[in-house]
Amino acid sequence: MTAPTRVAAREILETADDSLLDLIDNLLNRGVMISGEVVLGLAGVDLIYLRLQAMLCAADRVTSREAP
Amino acid sequence: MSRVYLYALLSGTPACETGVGVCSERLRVVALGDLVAVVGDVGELPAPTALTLRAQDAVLRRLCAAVDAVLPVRFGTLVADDAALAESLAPRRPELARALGRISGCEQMTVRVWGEAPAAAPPPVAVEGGPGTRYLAGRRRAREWIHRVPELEPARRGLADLVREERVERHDRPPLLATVQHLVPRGAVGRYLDAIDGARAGLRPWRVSVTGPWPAYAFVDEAA
Amino acid sequence: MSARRPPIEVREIDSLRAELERQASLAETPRWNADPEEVQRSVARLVLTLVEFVRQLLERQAIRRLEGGTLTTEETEAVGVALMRLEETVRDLAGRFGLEPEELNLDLGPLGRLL
Repeated sequence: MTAPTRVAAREILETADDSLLDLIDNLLNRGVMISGEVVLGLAGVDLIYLRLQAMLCAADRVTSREAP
Repeated sequence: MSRVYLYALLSGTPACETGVGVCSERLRVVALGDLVAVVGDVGELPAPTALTLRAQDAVLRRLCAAVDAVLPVRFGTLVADDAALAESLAPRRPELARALGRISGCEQMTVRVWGEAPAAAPPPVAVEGGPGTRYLAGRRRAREWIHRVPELEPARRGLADLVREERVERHDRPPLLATVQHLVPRGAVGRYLDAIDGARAGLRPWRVSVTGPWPAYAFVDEAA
Repeated sequence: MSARRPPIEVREIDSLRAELERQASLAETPRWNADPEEVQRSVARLVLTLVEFVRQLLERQAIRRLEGGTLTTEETEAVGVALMRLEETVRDLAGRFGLEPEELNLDLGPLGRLL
């Protein structure tokens, strides 16, 4: 299900004019990200990377709490 | 089977109609304690196209017009149902509430910095010690440098009163050198653009282009 | 609604588009039905991205400790050498698969892009 949206993310870039590029940047690269198993899909990101992201964020939270 | 598509997080329910979403679906709100999520029920993930991206941005702008603080959610965020949404957001509610406080009453201006080469870094301070020590010192400096935009220095004085927060991403891919996001109070756009225009000559050889105002897409996380 | 100042050049638009394309391609999963070299390359990228993340985590911790003054001179040197070697190894492995260092930079949402 996510494969077509990932392809679409690249396609939209090929035809984008400069006003669209900032819109793409804001909507696809920024904003609140939800991660973890509850996420069924995220445009332009395959699920394996979502799972990786969830795991890495958790790792970062744990290590950030450790005293230097 | 319908799933829940997430648009934004707010600190309260908007008083007025929120209209329709990217798939022409009716929008509704989900209460999550002190947060409110604006969602739509969709069949499948919408593909990112000019149409759908503009539609999502339009939803966010309507919400911004209705309430002071809107946290945009990344395009294409799909979860199974309201319970899954609540579960994933529950541990983050304090941080999200803080983010809403930060961006309340503000909007985003996006500045792209262009040039043939980045501003020269100051010469490295001599570090004593072996190769590992010098390497670590170098990495420390490199990390500090990632969030700096010395190219914009001449514009900073004119912008100082207007910029609440800044986020920097260096690309160093000439001519695209860096992207700077500025959080400015609503209504300050005119003064902001005037300040940038006034500084353009002083910014040479670097050039800037500005777009906005945008909903606060780049300010959902705390500064690095 | 959208404020625009002096029109930007075609070169500038192209570099912005290239940067966004790079970011868009970062999250591609191995396509198992693609040619074997491509599969190998994308698996390598997934693995090396993970290694690179851990390297950056370690580096950030080391710098924090350096700034906090809790590393002895010997420890600073040892940690620095270890990180230096780890960076060389990642770069070297990435190169063998035709990957640029920028390709290993995963968008981590709340963590931003660590690099």
